[in-house]
Amino acid sequence: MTTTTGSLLGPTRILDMTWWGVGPCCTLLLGFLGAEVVKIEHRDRLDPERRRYTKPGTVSVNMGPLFNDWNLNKFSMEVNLRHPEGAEVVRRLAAVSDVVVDNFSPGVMDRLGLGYNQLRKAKPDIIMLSLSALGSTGPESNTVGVAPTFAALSGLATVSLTPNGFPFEFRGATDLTVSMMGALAVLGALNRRLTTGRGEFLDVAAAETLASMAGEAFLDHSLGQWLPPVVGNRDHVVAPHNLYPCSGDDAWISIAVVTNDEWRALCRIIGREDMASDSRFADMPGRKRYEEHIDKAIADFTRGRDKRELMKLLQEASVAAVPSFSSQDLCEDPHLSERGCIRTIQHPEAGCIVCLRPPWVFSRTPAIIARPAPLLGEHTDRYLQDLLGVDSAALARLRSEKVLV
Amino acid sequence: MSTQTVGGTEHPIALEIADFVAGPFCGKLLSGLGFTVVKVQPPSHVAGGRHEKPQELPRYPEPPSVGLYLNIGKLSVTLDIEKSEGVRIFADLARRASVIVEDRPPGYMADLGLSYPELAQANPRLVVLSLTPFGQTGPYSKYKSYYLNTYHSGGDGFLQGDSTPTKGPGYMGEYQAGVSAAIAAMAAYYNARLTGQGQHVDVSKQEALMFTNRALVSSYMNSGMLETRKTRSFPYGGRFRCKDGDVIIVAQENAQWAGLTEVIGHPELAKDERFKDFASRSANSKVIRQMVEAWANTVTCDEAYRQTQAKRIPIGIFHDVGKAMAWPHFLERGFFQPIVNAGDKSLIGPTWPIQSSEVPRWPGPGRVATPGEHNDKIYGEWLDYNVNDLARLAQAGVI
Repeated sequence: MTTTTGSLLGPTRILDMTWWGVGPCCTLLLGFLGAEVVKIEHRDRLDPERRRYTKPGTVSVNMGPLFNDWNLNKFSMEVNLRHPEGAEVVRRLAAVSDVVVDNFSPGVMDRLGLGYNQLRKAKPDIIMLSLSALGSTGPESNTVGVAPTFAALSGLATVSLTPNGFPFEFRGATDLTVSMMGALAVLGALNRRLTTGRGEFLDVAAAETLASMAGEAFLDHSLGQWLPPVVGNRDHVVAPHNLYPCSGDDAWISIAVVTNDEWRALCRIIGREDMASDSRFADMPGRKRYEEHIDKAIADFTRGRDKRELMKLLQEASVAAVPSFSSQDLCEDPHLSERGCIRTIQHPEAGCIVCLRPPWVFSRTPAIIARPAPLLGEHTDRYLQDLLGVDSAALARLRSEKVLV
Repeated sequence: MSTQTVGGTEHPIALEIADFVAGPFCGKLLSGLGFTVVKVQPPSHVAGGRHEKPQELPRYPEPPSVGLYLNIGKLSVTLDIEKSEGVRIFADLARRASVIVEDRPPGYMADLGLSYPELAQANPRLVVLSLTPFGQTGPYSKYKSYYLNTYHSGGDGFLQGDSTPTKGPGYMGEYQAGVSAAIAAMAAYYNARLTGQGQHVDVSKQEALMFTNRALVSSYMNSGMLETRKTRSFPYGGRFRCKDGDVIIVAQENAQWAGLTEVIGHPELAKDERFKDFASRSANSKVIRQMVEAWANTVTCDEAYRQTQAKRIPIGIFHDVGKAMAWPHFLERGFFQPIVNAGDKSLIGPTWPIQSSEVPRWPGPGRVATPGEHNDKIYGEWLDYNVNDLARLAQAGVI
C-alpha cells in the first residue's frame, strides 16, 4: 500500500494497435490515467495522422499536429504485422501486457493471428477492446464508417435539427465521444479483473455509444409519445432557450430561463420590466407560446454588446448565460487559464507544443502529461530488449528480415 | 461494509446525488459496471412532500423518459441533507459507500458539513466525484449553466449547425460529461482498491466537452487555425436526398471518389481533370453535388447504402429513432430490446453501450424505483434504524 501520489491505474500496460482518432484518443485517456501505452506501428502502415500536416513542406512522420496531441504519453514500437514473426512479437508483448486495443475492421485481428482467442493463449487474463463503427458482430459489422455516417445510423443525428432544419453532420467530437466509452470499458474490465482474475473481450460500437446518448428519445418512441425534433437551440418546454447575437463576427450568447425569478431578472437587465409584469409571460408555458416575441426582445438587447460582458452581467443576476465559445475563445479564457487547462510540452522535432490538460482534477493522484508523443519506432529496441529479452544479435536479425521495419 | 451482496456477488455501493442527465448517466454507467447505485433525493421532490428550502438550482423540467432511461435498477432513498439529522444519516451512508457522485453547486456539500475531507475521515477509501458545469474552482465555478449553456461552453456548439451555432441533439453534452465523469470515478475507485485510499475528483462539464474537440483547440494554439462551421462543412459530400429519406456520404480520398463515380453511373469522371484530387473536387463541388443528387433521387436509402458500402465508401442513412430501433443490424446484436417496465408496458430502448464477453447484454427489463422506495431497506437493513426511528424521521421530514 502506498500513501504517496502515483499512477492512478498502477502498473498497467496497453498495446495500442489503433490509428486515426477514435482508438488513439481512447488510449490517450488511459495514458492520462497513468497506463503505459505502447503503440504498435509500422512505416508501411502509418497512422494517417502522422502525415496530416498543417505546415506546407513538412515531410517528417513525427510532425503531424493531431498525432502529436492524440498520442501524448505513449511509446512507439515498429513491428511489421504482415510478417508472421511480427505477429509473434505482438503475441509475446501481449503476454506481458494487460490490455490490447484495436480499431481494425472486424476479423482483421483474427487474420493477423492476434484475435482475442489467440491472445488469450499468450495471456489468459488479457483484456481486449475492439472499437468499430457498428460492432464486431451483426450483418453490417463490416461497414466502413466515419463520425457523420455512424452518427446518422445511430439515430442521434435526427433527435433534434439544425437551425435550418437539417439533421446533424457530426465530426471529430463524435469520434472522441466514442473514445471515452472505450476507455470506460477498459476501466470496467480492469476493475472486474481485480475481483475475478479474468480478462474479457470488449466490443464497443460507435453507433451504439451515440444511441445510448439519446435513450429518452427511444423510450419516448416506444411510449408513442415521441415529439417532432426541436430545431436549433430550442427546448420542448423551456423558453427563452436560445442563442442571441452579440457584437463582433459570429459572436453569440446562450441564454436559458427556467424559473420565474430568472425571468424577472432577465427582463430587468434587458430593460423590459414591462415584460416581467406581462401576464402572458408569467409562467413557462406562456413564455414558450410567445418565444419568438421574447427572443426578439432579448436579441435587441444583446446585439451590439460583448458576449463576455453579457455573461458576467446576466450571471451576476443568476441568469444562465454562456457564450458559444470558439476554440479561440477557449484558449483565451480566464477561467480555463486559472484552472490550468492549457499546458505545454517539448517535442524533439515539433518543439514546444501547446495542449489541453486531462479533463479531470484528481486530488491525490493527478492525471498526467508526462511525455510528448513518440517518434516513430522510438522505443522498439528498448521494449524488445527490456521486456522480451531480445539480445542485440537477435535484434539485428529481426531488422534485417523485415520483422520490425 | 462497502459492498452489497446480490446473488453471491459483491457490489460496491455508489451514492448518486444528481439531477437531470449528466450525473444520473454517470450513475447508470457505474451500475452497468457492477455498482449498486443508490439515488439520494430530497423529500421535497416527492409528490406531496414538503418544500421547505428550495434547492439552489431548480430542477430542469425534463421529460419523464429521461428519468425512466437513466434510473433503471437504481435504489432510491429520500433524505433531506439540509437538516442536521439528514447530514448525520448521509455521513452514515457515505461510510458504507465506495463512490459518491454529486452535482450540487461548488461549496454546497461543504456548507452542510459533508465536504470530502469530512467524509473521508470516516471512510478513507471513499471516492467523491463532483460534477459541475465549470468545476470546483475558477471565476465561473459558481455560474449557472443549463444543458444549452453547457454545450456551448465546451466549444462544439460553435462548430455545429448552420446559420447559428447549435447545441448537439437532445442532451448530448450532458451525456458526454456523464461518460467523462464515469471514467474518472472508475479510475479513482480502481486506485482506491489498489492503495486503500480514495480521493476527491473535480469534473468540469466544460472540460469534458473540450476534450472531444481538443484537436481543434490545439490547432488554434499551435498554428492559429480557427475552425468554424464553414471550414467544417463537407466540400462535395455530405447529405443527399434519396427516394425515402436522407443519407450522408463521405468520399474524400481518391479511391473513394473513384468508387463513387461508378456508384453514380459516371465512371468517366474518375479520369476527369476537374476532379483529379481533393482540392479540385472541392473547387468543383457544385457539379459533383448535382450528379450525386441526381443518382440519389433514383434510389432508396437502403439501396444507396448497399451500393456505396460495396465500394468501401463511408455512407450512413439518417435514421430517425424509430428506424434506428428497427434496423436489423442493431436488432441482431441485441442492442435495442425491452429495457424498462413502465405501467403495463415493456419499453424498448438502448442497452449497455459496452458489450463485454463477461456481462450479459442486458439483464432483462428493469424498473425505476419510486422516490424513497428503498428507505426501509437501506435505513433499516444497512444502517439499523428500527421502525420507530423511521417513523420519527419521516414525521420530521428528514426522509
